[in-house]
Amino acid sequence: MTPLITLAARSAWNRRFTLMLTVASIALATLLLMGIERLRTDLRANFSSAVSGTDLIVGARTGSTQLLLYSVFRIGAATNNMGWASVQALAAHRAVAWVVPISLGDSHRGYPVLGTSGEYFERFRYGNRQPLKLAEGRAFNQLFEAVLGADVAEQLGYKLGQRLTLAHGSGELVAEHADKPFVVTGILARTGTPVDRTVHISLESMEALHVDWVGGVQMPGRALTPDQLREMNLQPKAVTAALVGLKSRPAVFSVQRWVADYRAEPLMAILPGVALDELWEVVGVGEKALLAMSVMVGVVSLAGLVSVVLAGLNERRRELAVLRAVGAGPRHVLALLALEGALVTLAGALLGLLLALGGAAALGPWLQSRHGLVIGWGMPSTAQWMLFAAVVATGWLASLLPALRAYRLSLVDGLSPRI
Amino acid sequence: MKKSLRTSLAALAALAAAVMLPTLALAQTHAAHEHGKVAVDIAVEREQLTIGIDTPLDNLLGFERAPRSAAEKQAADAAVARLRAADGWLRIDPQAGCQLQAVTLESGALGLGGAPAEGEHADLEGSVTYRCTDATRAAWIDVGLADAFKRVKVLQVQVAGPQGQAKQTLSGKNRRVVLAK
Ligand SMILES: [Zn+2]
Repeated sequence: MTPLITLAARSAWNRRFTLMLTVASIALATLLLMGIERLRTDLRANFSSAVSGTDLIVGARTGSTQLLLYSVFRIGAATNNMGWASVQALAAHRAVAWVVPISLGDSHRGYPVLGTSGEYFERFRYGNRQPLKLAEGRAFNQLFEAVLGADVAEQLGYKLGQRLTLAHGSGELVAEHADKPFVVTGILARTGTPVDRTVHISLESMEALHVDWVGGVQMPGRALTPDQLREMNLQPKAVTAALVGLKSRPAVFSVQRWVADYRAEPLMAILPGVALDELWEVVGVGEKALLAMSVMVGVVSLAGLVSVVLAGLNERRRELAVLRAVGAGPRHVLALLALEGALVTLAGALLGLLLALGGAAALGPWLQSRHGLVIGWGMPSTAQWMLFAAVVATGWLASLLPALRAYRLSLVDGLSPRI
Repeated sequence: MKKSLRTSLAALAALAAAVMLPTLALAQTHAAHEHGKVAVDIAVEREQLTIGIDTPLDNLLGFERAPRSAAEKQAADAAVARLRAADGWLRIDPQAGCQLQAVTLESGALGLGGAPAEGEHADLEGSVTYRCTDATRAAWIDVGLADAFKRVKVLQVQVAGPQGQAKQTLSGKNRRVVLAK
C-alpha cells in the first residue's frame, strides 16, 4: 500500500492548486455557516440579557414587540404616552411591588436619554438578575444631573463633572436644550446591554427640559431659568412606559389583564420574555433565509468544484493506469480518491472553524465597545458542531462523485486507457 | 453618527416587526376573542403550579350565549364537567409531584359568575391550581384542550417560571408546553 500512498500524495501535490481552491471554498462555507449561527445565538443572548427581573412592562396600547423594542432597546418611538395617574393606579395595585416609570424621546449626540426615578438604579436587573453598579460617582439626586452608561462615557471621553446639553428628539434635525446644561454625577459599570448606551436623568429633569416647550419648539421669550424651574412642581404629566415588579409570580397574568381592562386610558402590559419570543418568531424568518443562503453558497461552491475535478479526470486516466500498473485494483483507486476527498473536506472545514473562532476573538472586543454586542468566542456550541459535521459529510459525499467516476474509468480502461 | 452594526441590526428587527405588524397586533391582544384560539397562562412556583385559560365559549360549545334548549343545557353541563376534571386534559411531568387542588371557572353566559356577557361574544375564564412537591422540576406540561374540545385549534401559551418568561404556540398535534429551556 505504501507506494500507492506515495503516488497518490504526488498526484495530489501536482493538483495542489485545485485542491487548495477546494479547501478554501469549504473553509469559506464553514466560516459563513458557523459565523451566522454564532451571531444568531449571541444576538439572542444579548437581547435576552437586556432585561430580567421585570415582570411586566406597561405602556400605551400598541404592538407588544414595539413596546418592548422602545422601552428596553430604545428602538423606534412610542406613539402614545401613559398618563401619570395610570402610573399611580398601577403602583397602588395590591399585587404590585414596585413601578419604575421611564420617559424617552431626547438624545445626546445620538445616545438616547432616559428619564426615570431614582429607584431605577435599585430595581433594574439585567443578565442573570444582576443589578446596575456605579463605576464612578453617584446617582442623580437633583435637577440637571446625568448618569452615563459605560459606552457613552467611554466613546465621548466624559468624566464626572462633565457638562453636557441634551437635544430634543433623536432624528437628524434636533433642537438643543442649550439653556439647561446637565452635569455628569455618575458613570455606570458596563452591562453589555442598551443601558451602556443611555444617558439617565430624573423624570423631574425631563419635565423641566420641556415645561417651556410647546409642540417641539421652545416658546420664544418664555424660557425659564434653572432657578425658576427648581421652584416649580415638576411631577411629569405622562411617561413613555413603566417597568413593573410584582409581589408574586402567578399575579403576573391577572395584573396583565387588569391593565388591559384599565378604563381611564388604553394601556397594555407585556411580559418581556414573552414579547422577546414573539420578536424571535419574526426575526427567525430572516435568520432562516440567511442560513438557507449560506447553505446555498456552500452547495454551489461544492458543485463547482466537483465539476472541475470531474473535468480533470479525463486527463488523469494515465495516472490511474499507472496506479493500476503498480498493483492497485479499482477498489484501491476508489478508496484513495475517497480518502483524498475526506482529507480535503476536513482540512477545509477545520480551517473554516479556526477562521470563525479567530474572527470572533478578533472582532469581539470591537463589537463590544462599538456596538455593545457581546460575541462569545469560546468553544463551538452543539448547533455549530452539527453544522460542522454537516459540512464535512456533504463535502465528502460530493468528493465521492469524482471518485466513483474514476473507479468506473479504471474498470473500463484497465492498464491501457484509450485516449 | 456612525452607522453601526447594532443600529442596522436593530433597524432590521424593527423593519421585520413593522412588516409583521398585522400578525403582531393579533399576537399582542393576548386575551382577544378569537374562535379556535385559547389563551393559556402558566405560572410556575416551587410548591404551586397555576394554569389559567381564557377561551371563547364557541370553542367549548359551538354557541356563545346562555343555553336555551335542554340539549344545549346538557352540552354546557358536560363541557363544564370536562373542564372541572382538569386531570383529564392536563398532564404534568411526574418529576414535579403535582396534585390537583382547585379548579375555578368563570363565565357570565353560563351562570358561573364573572362578568356578564357583553354583546355577541362570550368567554370562559378558568384557573387550575396544583400543589406540588417541586413544580420547578417539571420539564413539561401537556395541555390537551384540543382533544377535549374539537373546536380548539391553537393554544397561545405564556409561561412565567423560575427561568423567566416564554411564549409558545401549540397547534396541530402538538400538546406539549416545554418548561425547561
Ligand atoms: Zn426634549
